[in-house]
Amino acid sequence: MLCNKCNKKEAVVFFTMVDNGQKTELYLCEDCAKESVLNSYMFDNFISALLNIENEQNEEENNATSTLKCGKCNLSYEELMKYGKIGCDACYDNFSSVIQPIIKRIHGKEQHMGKIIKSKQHDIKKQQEITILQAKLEEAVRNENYEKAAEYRDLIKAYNE
Amino acid sequence: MTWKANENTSDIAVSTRVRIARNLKNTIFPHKASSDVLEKVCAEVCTAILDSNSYISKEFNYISIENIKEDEKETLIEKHLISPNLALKKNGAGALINKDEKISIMINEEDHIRIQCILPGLSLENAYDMANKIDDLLEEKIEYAFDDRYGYLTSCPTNLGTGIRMSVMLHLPALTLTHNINGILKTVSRYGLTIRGIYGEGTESIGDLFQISNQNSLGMTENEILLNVKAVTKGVIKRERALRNMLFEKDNCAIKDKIMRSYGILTYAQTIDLKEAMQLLSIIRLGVDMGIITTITIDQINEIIKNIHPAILKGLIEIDENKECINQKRAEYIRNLLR
Repeated sequence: MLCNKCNKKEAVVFFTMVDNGQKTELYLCEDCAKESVLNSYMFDNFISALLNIENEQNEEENNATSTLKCGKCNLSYEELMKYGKIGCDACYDNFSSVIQPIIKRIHGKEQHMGKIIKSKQHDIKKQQEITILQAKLEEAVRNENYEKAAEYRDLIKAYNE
Repeated sequence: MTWKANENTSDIAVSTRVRIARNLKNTIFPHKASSDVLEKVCAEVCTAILDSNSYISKEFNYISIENIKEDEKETLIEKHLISPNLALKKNGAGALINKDEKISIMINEEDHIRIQCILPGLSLENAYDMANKIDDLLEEKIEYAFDDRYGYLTSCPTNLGTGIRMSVMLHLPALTLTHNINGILKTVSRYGLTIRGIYGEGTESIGDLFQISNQNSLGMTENEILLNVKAVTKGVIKRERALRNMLFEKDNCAIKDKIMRSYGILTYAQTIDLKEAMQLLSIIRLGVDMGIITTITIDQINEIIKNIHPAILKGLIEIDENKECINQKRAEYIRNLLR
């Protein structure tokens, strides 16, 4: 099999990523693996590997993102790409365009459904319930159960008001 | 407080580990933080536990990484009370460890706070419950970094959301012997879980010990994660047990031979490295479970497996390093316990 990236050389390394039961496989030749996914055979730099793959797929946007820097902890775009580690709570906002797609890829979900800190319990509980209702609504539509779907839609509407 | 391992599964499920990752609000994460900030985090977390009104406060001791010797660090790593990563830190890092060594709170590892609870056997509910109580206690004094959408914010995006990793260590000699382990690895990944060697990320398996854990932490409740890990673990245990029965019925002589040979080597060997010892003890553990070896119990073997790691072993017996090496002492230690 040929390398997924350069399409020239024989692929020797492959990654398997399991994302919510969905398997994504990536086959790379030795050079491409070394160059773009440095050390990613090791789990430590798995995030860095994902970031780099994501980055190469969006090359046009690169210029805009490569100058990003977190104003609070000084983490640079380069550091983030190299180590795959976030520097502080503000980084999640400051690098959101880069990190968001990765989070979706890793977890397959984007809304926290677990335990909530005491001070935010009321607000987030509501958001979590809406997320559950939305999933139910989608399922009802898939099953062509429109009566149930309308019920869920009204409930969501009531929550949002 | 003692926790009795679940008797139905403890022959296969060796231990359960739950860890919760947390960070402080408005505080730079450890790898980017200055030593002043790191020291402040240590002090804040220690105060939250040690000065609390809860009975828990008297259970914990603080160990500062800069104040302990290398061999003490090694021992803590082998007991899984601190991570190799924490041991490498120079200053502003440490761990609060409780008296019976079931709970440790690592400070300034990858995240500001890593609460970890390890219990014998398959005991996810109890382990989560204990870790969660520590989390509640910390939250009385500490404001956590939390996002409405992403939940608890962590230094690595893989831990976002609940910040939870639940793992069960399994002893799977029959699956390994019959070359069925690869099939299990694939099946497990289909349920959003991973299975890997006993020292965590990126390590190979030794002694047929594997660790199953959840891969995703965002978008599910703690209870959903728990039930998922539990269900898959039980499935793997069922398969391992079925294969053990099959081995015993079908290939009785061959498996008995393998078990007794392992026993023979361990009762007579004069020098042995950790990997070989773990592998042979794994087979003997299988032999005990199948009723072929009756002179020792599973719990005693678990104890030996824990104690033959270099730093723990050095703490248990005297070694004159000029005359003897650790492998000789390990062989002697095992011989004395098996005979």
